[in-house]
Amino acid sequence: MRHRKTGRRLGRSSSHRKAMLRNLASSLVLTERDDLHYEDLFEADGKTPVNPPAQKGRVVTTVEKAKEVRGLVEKCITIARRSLQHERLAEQYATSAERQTEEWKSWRNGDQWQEWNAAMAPAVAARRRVFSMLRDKEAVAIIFDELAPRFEDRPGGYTRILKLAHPRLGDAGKQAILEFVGIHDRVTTEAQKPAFAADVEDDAPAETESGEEEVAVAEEPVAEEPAAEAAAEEKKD
Amino acid sequence: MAVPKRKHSNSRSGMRRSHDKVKAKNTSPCPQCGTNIPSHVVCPTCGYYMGRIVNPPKDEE
Repeated sequence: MRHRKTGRRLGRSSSHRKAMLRNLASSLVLTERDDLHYEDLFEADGKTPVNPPAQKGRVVTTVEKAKEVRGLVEKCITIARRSLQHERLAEQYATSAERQTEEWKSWRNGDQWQEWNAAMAPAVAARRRVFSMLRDKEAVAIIFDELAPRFEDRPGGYTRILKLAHPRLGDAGKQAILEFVGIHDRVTTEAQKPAFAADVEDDAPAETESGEEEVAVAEEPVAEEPAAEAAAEEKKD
Repeated sequence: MAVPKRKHSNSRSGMRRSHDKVKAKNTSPCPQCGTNIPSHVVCPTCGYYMGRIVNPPKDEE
């Protein structure tokens, strides 16, 4: 029985599945690569140029795979986010001198380096942890240098999954977009206050990202008034 | 070996197939462009989803 075993098997052995999820997670991260990377980059035939992705931070896959890989990607980013504070703390002991210069050598052999090394240790450990999860150095670099600062103030939920209308040709797999949040975000306009709600106490929450709350605010007066009327009628009787 | 004793009547076949009918997918018009689409999906024509364009039509799959 499958009781209390989480996660989809996706029709693969555990090693196949692990490799596939790592690969997919790295692929998503690598779409954030600089366009410079694609200059002078050719397919195996040596002639066809490789184009940068049309949209950065986005991959198209099946809904099930997207949901499985989401956790892996988010865990990597969270680890990277938490390492940022250690990197900042270590900065005070760092040197701006170039490697192998005299100034750098004196720093490297002094107490400052010991301090810097101790302060950097958690950040280095975080990098190694993420590397052990993805096994892709370039992806790890992008996660720590670009994605972690971008999502520093966001407590999780760095990705979104959007379902696509058409199934995949060939195996009719349900397709979805997996992308980093921050682009294509929902724009919310504050709900207009209904005219008859003027006497209702103004406890409407400030502008939020969620569209559901807007609806709730708009509906509140409607729900309240009949109740109030009913109460008034009951008193009359 | 097990062998059928009687002819399988047309009625029997019909009864078996009474549950085989395929239903059309439930769709509703996209609020942006009016194409009929299933719910909770990005519109394949205009790329509209929940109040914003997430997938400009050009890079449609």
